[in-house]
Amino acid sequence: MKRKNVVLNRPVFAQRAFDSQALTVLTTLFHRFPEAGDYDLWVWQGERLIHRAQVSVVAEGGPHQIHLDLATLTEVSKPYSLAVGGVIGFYVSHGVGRYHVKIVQITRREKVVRLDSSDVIPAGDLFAVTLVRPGIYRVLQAGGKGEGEIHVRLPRGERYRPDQATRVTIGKEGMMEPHAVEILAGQSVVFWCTVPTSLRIEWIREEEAAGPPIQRQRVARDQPPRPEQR
Amino acid sequence: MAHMTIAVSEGVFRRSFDLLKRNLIIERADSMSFGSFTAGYDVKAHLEGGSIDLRNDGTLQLRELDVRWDRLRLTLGLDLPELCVGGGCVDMPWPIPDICLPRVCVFSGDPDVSISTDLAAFVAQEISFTARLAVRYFDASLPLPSPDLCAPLRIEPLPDHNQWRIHIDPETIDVDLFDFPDIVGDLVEDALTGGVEALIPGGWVRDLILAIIGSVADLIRSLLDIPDEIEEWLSDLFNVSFGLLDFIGTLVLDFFSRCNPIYQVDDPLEIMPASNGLIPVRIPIRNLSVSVNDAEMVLQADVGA
Repeated sequence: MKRKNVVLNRPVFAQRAFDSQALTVLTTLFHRFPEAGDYDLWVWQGERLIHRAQVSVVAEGGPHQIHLDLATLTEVSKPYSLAVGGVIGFYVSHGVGRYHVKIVQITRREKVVRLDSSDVIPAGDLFAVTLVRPGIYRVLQAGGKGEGEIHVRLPRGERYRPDQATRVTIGKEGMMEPHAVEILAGQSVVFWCTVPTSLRIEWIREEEAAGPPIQRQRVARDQPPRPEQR
Repeated sequence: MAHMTIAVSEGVFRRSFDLLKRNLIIERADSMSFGSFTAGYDVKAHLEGGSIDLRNDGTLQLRELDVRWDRLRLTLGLDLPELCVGGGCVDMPWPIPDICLPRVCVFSGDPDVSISTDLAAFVAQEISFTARLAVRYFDASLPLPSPDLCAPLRIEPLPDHNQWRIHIDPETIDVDLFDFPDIVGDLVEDALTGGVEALIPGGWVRDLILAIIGSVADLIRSLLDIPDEIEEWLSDLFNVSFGLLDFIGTLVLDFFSRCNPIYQVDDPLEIMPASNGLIPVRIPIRNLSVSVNDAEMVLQADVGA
């Protein structure tokens, strides 16, 4: 028997802590562009600037969502075009790199920083984390304003789809609603930040064993058309 | 009445046929893609045994000629689908559009698994056919057809002179279907399962990947589109998808009826060799015909001008 060289995407299984200030594998930061106009986009890996581009937000015609894989970006790219109210999702497909993103709106009079992910997630943006390792995770916000918990377990015979996400709202005073969520391994939690915040999610311990997982038949998938991934 | 008659007994005819059939080698290799998997074969066989019977109706019947596989190598390659986590969409309150998440995949690169196994020991087939004898005239002055399809099948090079040639011309050829036993299905399925499982690490990572794909056996059957028994699927692969039955039938037909005569008669036929400074004596052969009955094959011809 022969087989091709296949490399396991090890960080997917090794990552235990996730931080909105340093985007890694299994995290996604969604920035919304509610205003039409031109924006400058910078992406850093650690301290190194790795990507620079313009974003043109137009009233009509652009896509509503773009995904940018920070692990595969080249230094300079063509301008991105986006519809008003659209979002760009910044994610990392592989590797151990830690990234942050800055977006500046260019107006006639000034340049306004709309996003600096190394600082805070601005109000209206979203931060998603896909949790693979089973166990209990703690959700922390900068300044210790709020705290939450995510329980992740392996499927035990129920209908299982990794492509399901649970929304958590970060409200006033950093309140998380709901405060605790339970998901299956490989699924995602999306934090909708209605106030500026930064988030850190840490694996803290395994859950108590509840019997071996049961293998299930695959289920047919039907989901909305996926946004363009670049 | 013919000028010349030659009779060949059934025993001699049988011996001649044995010598001819030994030279028939079935050999072929190919591979093809079926989307989620690739399948290839590399086969080689020869013929053994069988009985031949001359009949009064002018036909000869060949029964139970064994196809002995020297090599029957099957290669299967699975193109495993991406195994990914994440993805999906979340509803957002109006006027914010739904947000869809990217997927992150477990393997970097395209995980393929390939197995190659020789099934020669597990397959036995027979060929039977009814044939007539056909007389063909080889004119050495005419150019060969292009392409010369007989070139790879021809036992002896073509002569540089004219020749009458007597071919066995099968009317119908019956080739047994490939029919793999259960043990072959188990062998192939176990090899594929082992190949896929070798890609998956252990512990909770394994549990998660198995939860995503269902089970390795289900994944393999889904990729190969196996409706029921894998051995039936394998038989269909060889019989239909690879087209090996047609290939064997065509090869046997071409080998005997077009490319290799069982007997040949030179024209002109030398009846006295050159000697003592005299040129050889050769007579032109005309109107050669052949017939069989249950005892012998009979050749008749005229000596022409």
